[in-house]
Amino acid sequence: MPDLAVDGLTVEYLTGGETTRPLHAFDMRAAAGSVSILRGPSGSGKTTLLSCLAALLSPAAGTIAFGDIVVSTLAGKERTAYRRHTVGIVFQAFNLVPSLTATENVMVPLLADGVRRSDAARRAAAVLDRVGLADRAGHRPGELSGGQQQRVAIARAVVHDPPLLLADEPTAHLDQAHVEGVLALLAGLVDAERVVVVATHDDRLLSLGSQVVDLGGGLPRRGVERR
Amino acid sequence: MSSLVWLASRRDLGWRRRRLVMAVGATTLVLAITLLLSGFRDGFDVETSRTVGALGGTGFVVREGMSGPFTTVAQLDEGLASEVGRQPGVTRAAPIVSIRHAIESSPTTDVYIVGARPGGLGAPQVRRGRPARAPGEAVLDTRAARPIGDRFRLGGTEFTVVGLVRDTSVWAGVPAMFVTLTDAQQLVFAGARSATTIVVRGQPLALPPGLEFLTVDQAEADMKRPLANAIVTIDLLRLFLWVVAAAIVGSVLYVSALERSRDFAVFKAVGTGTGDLVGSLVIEAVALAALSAAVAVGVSRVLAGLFPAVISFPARTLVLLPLVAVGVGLVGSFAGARRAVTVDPTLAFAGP
Repeated sequence: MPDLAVDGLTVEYLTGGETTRPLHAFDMRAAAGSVSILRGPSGSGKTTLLSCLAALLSPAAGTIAFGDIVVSTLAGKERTAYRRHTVGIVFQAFNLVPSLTATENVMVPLLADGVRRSDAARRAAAVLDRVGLADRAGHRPGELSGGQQQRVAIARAVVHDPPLLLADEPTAHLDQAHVEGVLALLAGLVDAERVVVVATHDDRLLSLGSQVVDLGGGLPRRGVERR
Repeated sequence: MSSLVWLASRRDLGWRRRRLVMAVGATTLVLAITLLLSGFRDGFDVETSRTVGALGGTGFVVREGMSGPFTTVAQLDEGLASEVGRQPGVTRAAPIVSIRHAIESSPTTDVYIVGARPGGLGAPQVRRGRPARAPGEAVLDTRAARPIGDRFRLGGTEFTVVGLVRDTSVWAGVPAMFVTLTDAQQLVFAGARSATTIVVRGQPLALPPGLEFLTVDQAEADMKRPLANAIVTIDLLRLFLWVVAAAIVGSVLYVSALERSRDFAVFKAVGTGTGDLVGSLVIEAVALAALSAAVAVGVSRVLAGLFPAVISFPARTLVLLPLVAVGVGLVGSFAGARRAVTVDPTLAFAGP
C-alpha cells in the first residue's frame, strides 16, 4: 500500500524573462486510503502539483515519492509506464476524445498498456456500468451531458485501477444536479489501497477529505529572479 | 504499436470525414494528373515502339554518321536497298522515305509521311480499306480523323484515303500517313529515286561503304530524341506534383494535429506512448494517400480518353503508385507527427 511523500517541491517557469514559482519548498504526505483536498486560489499551484504528481511536469527541486517510485526522477519510458500503471487523472474540462465513444474513451488507458481490445472493452463496460452509464456506452462525448462526460472521465481514470487518483476541479463545470452524483462517485473510489488527491475550489468536496492541504498561503512568487 | 493506434486513427478519420473527403478529392486530382503525365511519358515509348514496329524491320540502314533514320533527311540512292538486301545476314531490305509534313486541306493536320513500296517493308498492316498501291493514294492513321474516301492536298499533290491504320503515330500523337515510295520521293526529293533509310530484316554482317546499320532500339531512340526536353519537363512536373500531393496530405494532417493538441495531451497524460501518437497520424496520412491513389487510378483512366496523345498505363506504374503514395503519406505526416510529439501533456490540465 504505497504512500505519497512530497518533499521540498519547487517548480519554476520562465515567462518573459521572469521566473515564476507556483510551488516553492512544498511538503506533503498522504497515506494509502486517504483523500487529500488541495485548496487555494487560482494560480496557487494546485494544478502544477497535480502535474508533478502525474509526472507530467519536472520540478526544479525537491522529490516526489509514491511508494518505492521516486516520481521526480523518472524519465522517458519510465514516466510513460508510471502514468500508464500508477496514475489515474480526472481533468477539469473532462477532456474526452470527441471521436471516440464513451466505451472507447474509457478503453484508452488499457489499450495504451497493450490490453487486448476485447478485454479492454469488457473492463470499460464494467466500469461504465459502475458509474451508471451502461446505456450511454456507445455515445460520443458530444451526445452526453456535462455530468455524464465527467462520469466517463472518472471511469477512464480508474479503469486500470490506479493506486494514485488525481482529480483537478472535478465539479468545476457541472451544475448542482450533477455535482451530487460526481461527489458520490468520487467517494466510492476511495479505498484502502488508493491515494486520492483532489484540487478544488468547491467546498462541497471538503467532506470527502482525510486532509485539506491549503496552497493559498500566498500568491506565486513572481520576479524572484530575473534572468 | 498498440491497438489504440488503429482505433484512434479510424475514429478520427470518420470524425473528420468531410475534411477527409475534401483532402482525398484534392489529392486524387493531383495524383490523377501525375498518373496522366506518367502515362503521357510512357506513351512516348509505346507510341514509338508501335510505329517503328509497324514498319516491319529488325533494323535500319542509314548514311554513316547520321543520327538515325527518322530525325535527319539524308539522301540514299534507292538502288542501295538491293545491294543491302544481298549482304549476308539480311533476308529483306526495302527503301523508305519518311518526313514530317502537313496536310494543307482544312483542317490542317501534321502527319508523318512514310513512303514505301506497296507490299514491301515499311508498309503497315491496314486495319480498314487497303494499302496504298498507286500514286495519290494514302493510308492514314485514325488519329488524323479522315475517313476512307476523303480527299486532301499535301505538298501540292491531291491524295485520297484508301485505308486506315491504328496506333501508328509519332511525337505525342502526330498521325502517320503511308503513301507509295514514288509519291514520297516526289514530295521530298522532287522525284529523284532516293530514300531516307533502308528497312532491313536480319542482321547484316557487312554493308556497302558509307552505310551504317542501326538496331530497332537505336531507331526508336532517334525517333524519341526530339521529345527529350518534353520528357525532362514531364519528369520534373511529376516530381513537383508528388510534392504537391505530399503538401496537401501534410497540411490536412497538420491542421488536424493542431486541432487535436488537447487530445494528444490527454493521450500522453493517460500513458499513451509518443510512438503510438505518431503511428496514429502516419496511418491516417498513409490511408489518405492510398485512398486518393486508388481513386486517382480510375479518374486518370477516364481523363486519358480526352487526350489526343498516346497515354499508356503500364503495370509498373500501377505497382509503383501505392508505394509512392505510402511515401507521400509518410512525408505528409511529418509536420503533424512533429506537432504530436511536441505537445505538452500538461495541456490536458488546462480549462475548456
